[in-house]
Amino acid sequence: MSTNPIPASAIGIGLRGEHYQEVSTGSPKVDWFEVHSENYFGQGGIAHTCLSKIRDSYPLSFHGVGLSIGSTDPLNQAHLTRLKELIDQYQPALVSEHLSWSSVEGIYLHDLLPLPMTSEVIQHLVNRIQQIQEYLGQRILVENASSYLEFTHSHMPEWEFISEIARQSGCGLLLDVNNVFVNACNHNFDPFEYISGVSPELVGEMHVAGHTVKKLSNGEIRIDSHDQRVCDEVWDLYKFAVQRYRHAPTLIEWDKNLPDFSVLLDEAEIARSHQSEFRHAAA
Amino acid sequence: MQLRELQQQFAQEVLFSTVTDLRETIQPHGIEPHRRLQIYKNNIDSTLAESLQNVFPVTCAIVGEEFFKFAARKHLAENPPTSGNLHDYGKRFPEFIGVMKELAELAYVVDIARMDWACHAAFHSVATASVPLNVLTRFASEDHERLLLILHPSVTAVSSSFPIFDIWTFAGQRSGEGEVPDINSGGQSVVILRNDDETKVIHIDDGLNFFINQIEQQNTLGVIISSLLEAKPDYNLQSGLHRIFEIGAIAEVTVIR
Repeated sequence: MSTNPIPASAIGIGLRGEHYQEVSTGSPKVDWFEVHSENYFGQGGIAHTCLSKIRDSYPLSFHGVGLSIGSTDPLNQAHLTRLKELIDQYQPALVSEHLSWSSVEGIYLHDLLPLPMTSEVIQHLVNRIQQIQEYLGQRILVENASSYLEFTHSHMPEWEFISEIARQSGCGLLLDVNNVFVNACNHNFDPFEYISGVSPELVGEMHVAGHTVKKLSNGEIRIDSHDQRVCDEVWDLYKFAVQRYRHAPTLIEWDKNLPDFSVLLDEAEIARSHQSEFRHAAA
Repeated sequence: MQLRELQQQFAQEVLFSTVTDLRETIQPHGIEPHRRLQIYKNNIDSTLAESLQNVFPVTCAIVGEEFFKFAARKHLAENPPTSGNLHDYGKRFPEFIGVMKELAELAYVVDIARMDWACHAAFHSVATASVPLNVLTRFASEDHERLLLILHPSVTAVSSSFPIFDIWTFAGQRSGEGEVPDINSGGQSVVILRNDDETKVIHIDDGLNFFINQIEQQNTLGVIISSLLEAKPDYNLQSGLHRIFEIGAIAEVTVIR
């Protein structure tokens, strides 16, 4: 089995168990699929049966949510070992994780928690990413996470923080356009400045997803809920990002309140039309 | 604040609602730090409760969704996850709800929760074929006493003083049809396993439950047979042996030299 590469213009869909049947029997017109690696940490069962079948027909990407790269605990070797076994088994074209933490003192909170944007944290993340890449024997992509708070001791913009980590560690960036927009709203910065501030050669993949606006008595916070269609503002930002990150394939993410698979196909078509619009304009 | 301390205090805030110095390191920007932390706490609570609900669907159907979420929150504070794989979370949930005073009148729920967990474990267990009864013909008859039966890795047997198979069947169907089980009608045992990709809950008699327990203890066929005959003199050994292979509970047979 050889690695099936994902072309830059390809639009993928995040694959969840609820859609196994439709995808494995219906052969939908999708360029590639991304799965959460931890969903295959079990040794057998229908998840593996379906993934093996899907792997034969589509390029695949493994997206991790549990490695806790930003944690100050030692790297979870058992987790990393299982991830490497899966990579060896399925040979995904891309492997990614998040620029966040989720565990401390051996307790896992299963959320993508925020990090202060400081030189200390950059060094910590660079060391951890290098350890991971060395063990896996390959470059990984790391995703900018959404956040609902900022630390007072952060002393650089997020786009500088993630770019510096990628440059120093040699990893690539999975740029989640929705997360950029969510953070721009939550922390009051210009999302277009963010996209302009991240060098195209660092970006190996883009995500788009839906989010929720949570109204509070003294303001509102955007929550990265992955439970609805991509909003117009995020599509506008995506159109800008597509022009800049010409070598990065796009993924449609949807994790909660999963709709019919046809809705995800429709979202993928919207992304495709924005790409075509750009290519048409560029020509 | 150093990153280590920040992460420790963050966990204290979101797991136990402890007020820490972390709040002083969070920009308010119009929304107070504790409300920002509460968003994370809500996300964590809901992710983990939803995960338990997916793993324990029949338990949830019996206790009701509202109580289940309450139990999940209490469980989280006492048994937070210790693995980056969410599918590992919930192993201790049956024992946790088994001692909840609010469920004292539903004493069978702990066994139903064990069945839910066994289904979850079977669903993810290693893919291995089971062997048929005629595998025994490969061994000389004088070796039969020294045969060691290896259970399929998906197998878990659950035994209860309550009619758990009837309760499971009734609670697991959403239609609410069928006869409501009499919880005082006596105990039942089940074996849970996966054949190919299908997870099954199979009602087994006491003899077969005894048989499986003996296999779990890695006793040889000779020891199992003599223990069975002593404990259950009327048990139809041939029929039990046939059944245990028929349901796909045996993955391998070896002989002890």
